[in-house]
Amino acid sequence: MLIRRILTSLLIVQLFLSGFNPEAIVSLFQTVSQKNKHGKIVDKIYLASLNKNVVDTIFSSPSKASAAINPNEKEYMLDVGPVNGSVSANYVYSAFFNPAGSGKTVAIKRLAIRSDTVSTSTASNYVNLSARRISASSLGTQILAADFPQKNASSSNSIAEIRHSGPTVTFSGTADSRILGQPLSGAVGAYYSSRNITFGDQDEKIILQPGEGIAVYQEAAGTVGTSIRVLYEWEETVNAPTPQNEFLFAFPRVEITTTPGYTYNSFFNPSASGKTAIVKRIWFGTETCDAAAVYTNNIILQRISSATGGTLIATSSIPKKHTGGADSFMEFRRTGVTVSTTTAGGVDARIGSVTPCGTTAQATGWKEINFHQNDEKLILQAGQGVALISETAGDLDQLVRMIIEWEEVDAVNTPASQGEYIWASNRIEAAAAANTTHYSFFNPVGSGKNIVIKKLGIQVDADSTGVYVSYSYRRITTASGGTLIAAGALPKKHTGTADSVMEVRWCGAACASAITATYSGTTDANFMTVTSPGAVGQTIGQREMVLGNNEKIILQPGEGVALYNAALGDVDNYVRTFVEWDEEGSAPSSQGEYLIDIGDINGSTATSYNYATFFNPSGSGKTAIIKRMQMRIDSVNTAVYIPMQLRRISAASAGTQIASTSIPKKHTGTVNSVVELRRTGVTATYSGTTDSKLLAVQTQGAVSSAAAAQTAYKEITFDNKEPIILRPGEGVGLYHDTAAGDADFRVKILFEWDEESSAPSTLSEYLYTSGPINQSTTLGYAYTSFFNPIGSGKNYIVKKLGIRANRSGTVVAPVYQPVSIRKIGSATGGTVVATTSVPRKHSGSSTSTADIRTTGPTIGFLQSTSSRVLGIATPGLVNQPSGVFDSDIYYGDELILKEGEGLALYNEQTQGDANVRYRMLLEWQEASNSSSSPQVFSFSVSTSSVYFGTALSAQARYASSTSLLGSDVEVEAHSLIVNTNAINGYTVTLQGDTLTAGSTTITQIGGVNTVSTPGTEQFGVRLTASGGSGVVSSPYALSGFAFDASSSTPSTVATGVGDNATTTFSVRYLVNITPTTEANEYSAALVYIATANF
Amino acid sequence: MISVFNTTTSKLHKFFAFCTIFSIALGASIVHVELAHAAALSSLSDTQSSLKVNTLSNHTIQFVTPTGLSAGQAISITFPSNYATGTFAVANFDLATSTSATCSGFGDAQLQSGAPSALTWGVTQATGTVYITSGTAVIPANRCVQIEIGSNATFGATGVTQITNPTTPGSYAITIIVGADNGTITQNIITDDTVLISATVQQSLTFTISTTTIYFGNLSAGDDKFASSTNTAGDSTETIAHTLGIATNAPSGYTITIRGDTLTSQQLAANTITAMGVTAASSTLGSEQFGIRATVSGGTGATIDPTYIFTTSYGFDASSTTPSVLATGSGATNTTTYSLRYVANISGLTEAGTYVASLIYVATANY
Repeated sequence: MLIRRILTSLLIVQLFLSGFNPEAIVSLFQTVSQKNKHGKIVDKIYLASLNKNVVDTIFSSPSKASAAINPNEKEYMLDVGPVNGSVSANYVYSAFFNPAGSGKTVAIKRLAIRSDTVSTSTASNYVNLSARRISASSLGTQILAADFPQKNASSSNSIAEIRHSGPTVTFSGTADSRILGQPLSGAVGAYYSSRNITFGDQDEKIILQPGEGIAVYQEAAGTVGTSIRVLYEWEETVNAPTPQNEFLFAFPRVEITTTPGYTYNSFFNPSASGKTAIVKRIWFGTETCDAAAVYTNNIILQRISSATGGTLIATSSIPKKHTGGADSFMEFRRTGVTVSTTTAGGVDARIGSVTPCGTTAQATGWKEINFHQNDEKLILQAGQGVALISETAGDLDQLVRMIIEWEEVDAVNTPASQGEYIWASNRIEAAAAANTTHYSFFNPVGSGKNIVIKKLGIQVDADSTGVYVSYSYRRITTASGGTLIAAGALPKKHTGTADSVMEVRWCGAACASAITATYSGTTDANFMTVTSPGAVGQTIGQREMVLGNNEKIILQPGEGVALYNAALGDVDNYVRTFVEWDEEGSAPSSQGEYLIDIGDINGSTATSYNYATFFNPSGSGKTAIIKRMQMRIDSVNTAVYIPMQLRRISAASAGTQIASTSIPKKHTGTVNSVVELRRTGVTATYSGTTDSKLLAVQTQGAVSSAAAAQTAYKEITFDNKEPIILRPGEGVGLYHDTAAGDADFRVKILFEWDEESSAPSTLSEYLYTSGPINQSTTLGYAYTSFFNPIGSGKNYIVKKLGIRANRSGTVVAPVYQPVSIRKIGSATGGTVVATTSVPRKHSGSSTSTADIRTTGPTIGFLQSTSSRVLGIATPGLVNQPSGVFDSDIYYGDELILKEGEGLALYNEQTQGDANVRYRMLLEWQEASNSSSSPQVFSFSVSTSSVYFGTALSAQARYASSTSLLGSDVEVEAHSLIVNTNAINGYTVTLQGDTLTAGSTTITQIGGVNTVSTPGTEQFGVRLTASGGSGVVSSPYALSGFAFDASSSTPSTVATGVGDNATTTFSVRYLVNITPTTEANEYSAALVYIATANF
Repeated sequence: MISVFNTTTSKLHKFFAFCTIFSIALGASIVHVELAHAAALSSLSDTQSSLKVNTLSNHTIQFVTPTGLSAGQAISITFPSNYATGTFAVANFDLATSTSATCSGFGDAQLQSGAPSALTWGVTQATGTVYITSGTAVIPANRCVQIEIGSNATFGATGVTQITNPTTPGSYAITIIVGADNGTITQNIITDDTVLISATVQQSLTFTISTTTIYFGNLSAGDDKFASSTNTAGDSTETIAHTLGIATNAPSGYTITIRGDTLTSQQLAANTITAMGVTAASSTLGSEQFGIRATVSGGTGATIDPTYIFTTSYGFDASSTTPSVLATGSGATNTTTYSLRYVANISGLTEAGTYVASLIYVATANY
């Protein structure tokens, strides 16, 4: 009690002393957290805020989000590449090395490896592209540490040595010791070759102590037509963290003609290990196929109770995240392992399953299971394991792999069961009639349990020409019939958990065993929907919903969910599902959340069309808090490439309103939503200008394929970020305009939201998508710049960055050119996006201070070309996904843009055509900085009198401030010195007439830069610039002279950006006369005016 | 003891309650202010006609208002006290808005002194602050606004009063409030913003005479004779005896005069050949005549005096004491060349002798 009072008093005193500045509270907590070296206090407050059962009365802001503001946190990020492919075996594309003696420890928090094929003339190549630890690195091309983008520019330079393009490295361990693995990209457009791993906040990172590193290399000869990028995010600390005994291991890939039941890989915890493995991540399946294969087998992940045979991989080859930890106690086998699944639930007890690829370049057969940090992990106690198994005959040309991440704890520290389950279905191949229930998950009346669904997924693949049909999940109130999966076959994450009470049904492999289910609401009431693939290789039928920190889908007794098709299916569509859930003895309280996937909405051929709106009506008395938005626009036939975007609205009417009773609640105890959801030809009033896009995509003009991904998807969640706050009278709408749409679009938009009685406090976050901006062929052309202007008084905490380059027309070489985001120190010109058009997540937030420009701003980079924050290769064919890449910057270590810093998306090279459309996605917070820069503006003229002396017709004369006789050679007459931090820079003009004597003048040169010509009358000026970034304006910038002013008309002689750096302009004057130039004493009074534009 | 503790607890409760309520009330008021969506003006600039200390200057102030301005709201521009804003007159101000956030294509608004009236804005001034208040006029959000102060305010009437810059060099912040938006413009006033450039073009005059001796040879009553510089016998047909060249950069040109007597006998000075006089006349055989005519080429602005200008007539009205103007130039010129022809006729009674005339040409530049 006393402590609480003291704390309250402290808070009050802090408030008083700070003049009631809410940031004082933030500051107080930051101070406290600084005192706590490991930040545990802040973390606990934050973690408490994640728990919906904890009322956060202490701190409403995400405290960790600004951690990187502290320059003492040495956080960096760098996108290395593009690195051209090589035909040399073991060629190293990128090496990251912590040199001996650095005095620092590196923690790799994120590693993303991408391979794109950028030459149609290059034969496909599927060589292993792997990441392994190294103990030495030299040669290659080293990127200077000064060119690593620091997340906080005030941090010191990194100690890391990052090399690319063939460095010489010394690998640690055997060739099996892969941290990550993937095949090189084969055909152009193939998008399977991507590994993107972000280690959780609570997980061990890849620790690189002095003398350690990692390298990304190819294990055999590659092809020159490959382009590799490796994105690193890392932190450097003085003290090495304590090992947490975590591991990340990519099994060798297996390419073999399998028999039914063949086990590709096994991960087994031996009975005598004395350890428990806590599995945090399993990625598995066919990475792709390197030739025509079969779709007939299922590749599944199952628990096992024994593993023998095959090839045992030495534990010394298993990569530890921290080399200070002990070797793994697990057993790793590959290639024909003998395993026992009988005690682990039998054939239906799949933890995961995929339909493998059936031909080259397909990405359909790969699945990634990532256990959310707040969910139970897969617990493998001694005598337990998992294996990757081919259920039926597999194919030599399927490249099969498993990647696994886990922690090992002593058996006595085995986590207690948390009652969670994970299950993946078999597949259904059937031309099922419309509205056939394929799978149902039902909590039977009387179960005594409440089911908490944490993850739900749909996988519909095609093994031949299929049909484009919607498959959706909806609530049900009854389920019977079908084939019931035995409770014992539903895999428990922890074998100490009791069997599930959930009734899981399916209609059988040919869907001949009908499930009878009673669906809630109308056909609009879907939690999640996919459009099934109409052709092989399409991944549009795959979707996963991870509810994460948000309210889960609660199934109380008598409630369930089921997957059904909206129209006649096709036997060539393979339908699978997967689910992850918890079972609780008592029903969680309602948290007032909703989840709906609106659509499919057929495309419209109108020039302007509103597909769907989400509107919180005036007088609702509620605030809608959108936590997730997902746009999926599929094209099911040849269509058109047009922009489609999501913006705020202030009114919505007409269209088809979805009844509030059909808006799915996550918890049936929640009241009906107040939100008005409309679809299909809605009338909407959009807020702001057309620039004010929250999200935007370019639709696809053709159907997807293995080499043409679904490029018109955009999904965003707001975990650890401010959600979209919609107060009464506010909403968002999805529409296309500016060009006719196409009836072959299938438009879906998913919203996940909460409704609260009062609006939350603002967090000053913004979400903006620029474009579409037509591709420029010009090297260095900037599509979008994003700049924190001097004087903003803010630090920008950049949380998400995205590039979206969509080709929609014929290519002209050069193509596949790199387009990158880099840090900038200035931006001028281009088209300014009004600050009022920058969408606020919460309309209560202040207008953004960001200086955003599009369409060719002039930018000044802060570092060299290799300092890429993010990069892509422009697509060489329509629908290729290589131009689309988003980066959620590591939570808590966001990219900080201080005043005078920014980012720009630009052409690294000349492009060949204009048929690509660019967008840049930005999500950021604007936090007050404690040292807002006051306006700075200084201007001086070095002298007020300069002299030509006697002008001669035979020789040019130059003015001097020191010699009354002038000069026969060009000299500086005087200087102008300018410095400002004005956001929009400055302009210097001169105003005045030419040399004049009474009514007689010496002819001024005019507005064209002209060389000195003795014997003719000329009066002119030229300037040169030094220091700062000021530039001399035309026509005064060249080696000749000009004079285009008069006493009534100023002429601009120089401009500059507000770089707060002094630019000195050296001014030179020229006079020439003719023999008949009237004798006299001439003079000119030139007024120099500098105007800052703040 | 328990009672005392309870009393203390109660007082503590009251104190905490008071502090809490006060904090919440005050905090709420702060929050309320924040919810007014005050925004920072952007693209702020003030272009002055002079940055020189203690000098009259026009001001062209521009800015973009993110929020805009509603009916009844005001724009205020506050100059630091170092500026002398001078006598107020509504004509000194222009208000204009653009149709976008781009500061161009401005449309002027009607202004009047004092309070606003409907769409006409009211302008007042209090010390260093100028208020421009809306009646019913509004400025939409995200528009560029331009305010001109001084003689550059020409809409309606031209301003007469400019603002005098501070007397001390330095930076001065002009504060602008537009409804809920605000911003500042930092100006830098300097000792002198003007560069005075001087140049001298020296006087030049060039005058040349192509030759100093010309010859008529023997004169005859039956044949007119023309002087020649190359033929000592003179010519029977008109020829150029010599030229005068002149060039000058004199702004007002030049004058060339002839001074000297007509042909005079060396044997008896009383015997002369009659000068043709001021009025040009044709060559007439058998009568005494001494005359000159001139033509001009090159240069600019040359004018031959009428006595000498005609193509077939000659004149001569100079004497040794009285110069006669041959030609003038109106201004600076490149080389102008005068070609002179001399004619001499005698009668049957003209006294024999050797006749000579010494003519002096003088060029005078008029600077």
